[in-house]
Amino acid sequence: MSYIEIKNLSKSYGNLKAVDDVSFNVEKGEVFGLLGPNGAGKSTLISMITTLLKPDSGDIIVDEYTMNGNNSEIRKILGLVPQEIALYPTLTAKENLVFWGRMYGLRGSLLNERVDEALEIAGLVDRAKDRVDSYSGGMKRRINIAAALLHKPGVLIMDEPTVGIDPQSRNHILETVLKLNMEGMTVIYTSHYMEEVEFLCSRVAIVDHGKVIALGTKDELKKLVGDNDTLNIELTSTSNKVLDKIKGLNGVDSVSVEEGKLKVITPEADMVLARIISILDIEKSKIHSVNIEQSNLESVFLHLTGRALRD
Amino acid sequence: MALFIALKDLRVVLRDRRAILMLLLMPSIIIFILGTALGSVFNQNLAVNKFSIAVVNNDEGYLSSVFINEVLRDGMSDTFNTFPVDKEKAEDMFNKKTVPAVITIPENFSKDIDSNKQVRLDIKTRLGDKIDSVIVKSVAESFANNISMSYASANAVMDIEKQYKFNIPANGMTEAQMVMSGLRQKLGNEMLKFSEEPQKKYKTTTAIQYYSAAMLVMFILFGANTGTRSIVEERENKTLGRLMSTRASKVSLISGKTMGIFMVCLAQALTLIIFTCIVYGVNWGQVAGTLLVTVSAVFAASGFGVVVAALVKTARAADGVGMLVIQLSTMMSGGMVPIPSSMKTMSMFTINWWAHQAYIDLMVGSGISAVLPYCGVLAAIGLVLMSIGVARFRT
Ligand SMILES: Nc1ncnc2c1ncn2[C@@H]1O[C@H](COP(=O)(O)OP(=O)(O)OP(=O)(O)O)[C@@H](O)[C@H]1O
Ligand SMILES: [Mg+2]
Repeated sequence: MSYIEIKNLSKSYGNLKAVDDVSFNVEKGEVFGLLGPNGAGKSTLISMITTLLKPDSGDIIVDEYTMNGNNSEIRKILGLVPQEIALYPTLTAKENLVFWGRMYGLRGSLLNERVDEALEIAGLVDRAKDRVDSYSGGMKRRINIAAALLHKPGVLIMDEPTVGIDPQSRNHILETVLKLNMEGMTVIYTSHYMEEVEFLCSRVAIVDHGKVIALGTKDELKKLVGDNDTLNIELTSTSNKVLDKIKGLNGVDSVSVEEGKLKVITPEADMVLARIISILDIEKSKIHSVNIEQSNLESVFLHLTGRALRD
Repeated sequence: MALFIALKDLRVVLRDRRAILMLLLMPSIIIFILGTALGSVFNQNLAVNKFSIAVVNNDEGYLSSVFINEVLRDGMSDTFNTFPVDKEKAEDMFNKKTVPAVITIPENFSKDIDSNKQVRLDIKTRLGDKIDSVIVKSVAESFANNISMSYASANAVMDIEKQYKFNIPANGMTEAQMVMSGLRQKLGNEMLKFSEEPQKKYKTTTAIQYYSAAMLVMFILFGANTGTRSIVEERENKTLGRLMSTRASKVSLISGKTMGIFMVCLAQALTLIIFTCIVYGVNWGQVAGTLLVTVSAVFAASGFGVVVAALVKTARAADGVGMLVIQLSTMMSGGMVPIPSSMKTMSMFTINWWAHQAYIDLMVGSGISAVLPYCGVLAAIGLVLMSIGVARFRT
């Protein structure tokens, strides 16, 4: 039996199927990634796993507790890092943490101990007595995460914890997640940043339009695109004629245009690039820049949906 | 859990300068402005709304007619009309609301005054007509006091007379009555002044008393409204979601919130009561009663706060709806200017009215038992509103 089991979960808002028959398992001790573009249904899914939202149908089992019957048991196991900063802006970081610790049932010296630990993890010990509304975006994010760690949850559920912050805070957060995982914490990590999921997660579910369109380890997913590379070619000018000619080339898997850049997926990057250059020569188009990427989750998404993760 | 949520809210409110200003400074200023500036309007209002009092005279002595004709009729003619009726008629008029008050002069009124005994006038008034009845009461009481005082002096004079063996006329009147009637002719005008004085004093302090009570109730409701805000903000701050993912349940959330509102309102109410008492000399009456009324009013207001929180989506809407309802209900209950009696039934649908009446009752010297019905109604309102709020609250 897996640590967390999601079975045929669905949720609609009116006519919109925000989550559509989603199933996956999360094993104890892994970092499980939920990767998907804006509006894919990630937050809706997480709200259901964290007991905040009732599914229309389907089951959720956390550590052998079934949702609905044992919500309060499930809540003891969960640590939720909401997508939005869920803190009291006029209270200090420490006051916030003490309050949330109490909500998780901590009292007395254990509470103080955990609050200090959490501040340490967030790297904000020296700012502990400042009001949260005086913090930078990155600092708020870190406290937002720290608040979910106080009760040492069995599973930490993070909903896009790095949205809109500076690279320094982002690295801090990613390192923290890795460290927590190494100490044994199970993590469900939601993001639309391919790099983060690639860096952290052992297994990934790719979500689009409420459905899981691919599920597996990173390597398994990459095999979906084959041993393909991605050619990113920036041209001085593009035309449909050029595009059609490239699509027609032998060995080209798929072609898409994103922000004026051609994305060409191919198992034989060198050969295809040479041919593209000759086409461009004929069509009097010039290359501005070229880069060859080995296959990644981004290209998996592109391969599966024909769209880029961030559009 | 609930307690920690309440304490957290208290801390958040205390850190909100705007809220504190709104809850403490504002009412003090408004009470002052209304009490002084509108005080004259208030007095005129009383004079214009001249009312009638039925008098049942069970006494056959002559002092009762002095009281009726010279004190009630002549002395107070600009405030109320009096007309003597029999007991049944008076009951009938009172029940039909033709008169707001009935004064019953007891059987041995004159005799008791003669023999220097304490006299009691029975004054019956209707719920909600406290201001009027207070005037009647104070007039009657000061008359009784003055007349006994005069009698005491008359008796003293008589003793001296007897001692020095002055000649005593034999025309049926007792000596005391004789002296008294002489005294009365001389002092008559003085006596009326006496009796009017405490009543005037009462009138002028009344404006500020009246508004202190009205504004206290209004600001208790405003206090509850900041509580509403704190519930709605919990949703806006996204902390509601996080709360619901912890071990805090919906029940502990709402009871915590209610407790928070309760503490804020209570602290605010007590501060205002003490403030108006010290600075404006407002006499709130019996302490235990005031506490009970305050707790009941705060409870009802908390219910109001929870209902609004369950019905609106944003903090802005909470403020808007709250302000509107509170100001309307304050107006309806006569919290801004005393309302005509035709609107009294309508005003009974407000929290303000019940709390305001209870405070005024205490201010005029009623005991705790007199305000129990008001407190009961307030508690019931609170319970009903609270249950609606809990049922309608979505996390
Ligand atoms: N309360 C709601 N009422 C109606 N529609 C909703 C509601 N919440 C979400 N949706 C819709 O459901 C879909 C999924 O939303 P969700 O927030 O789960 O996506 P997401 O993957 O978390 O996106 P993002 O990356 O922007 O956070 C979206 O189309 C959204 O508009
Ligand atoms: Mg989301």
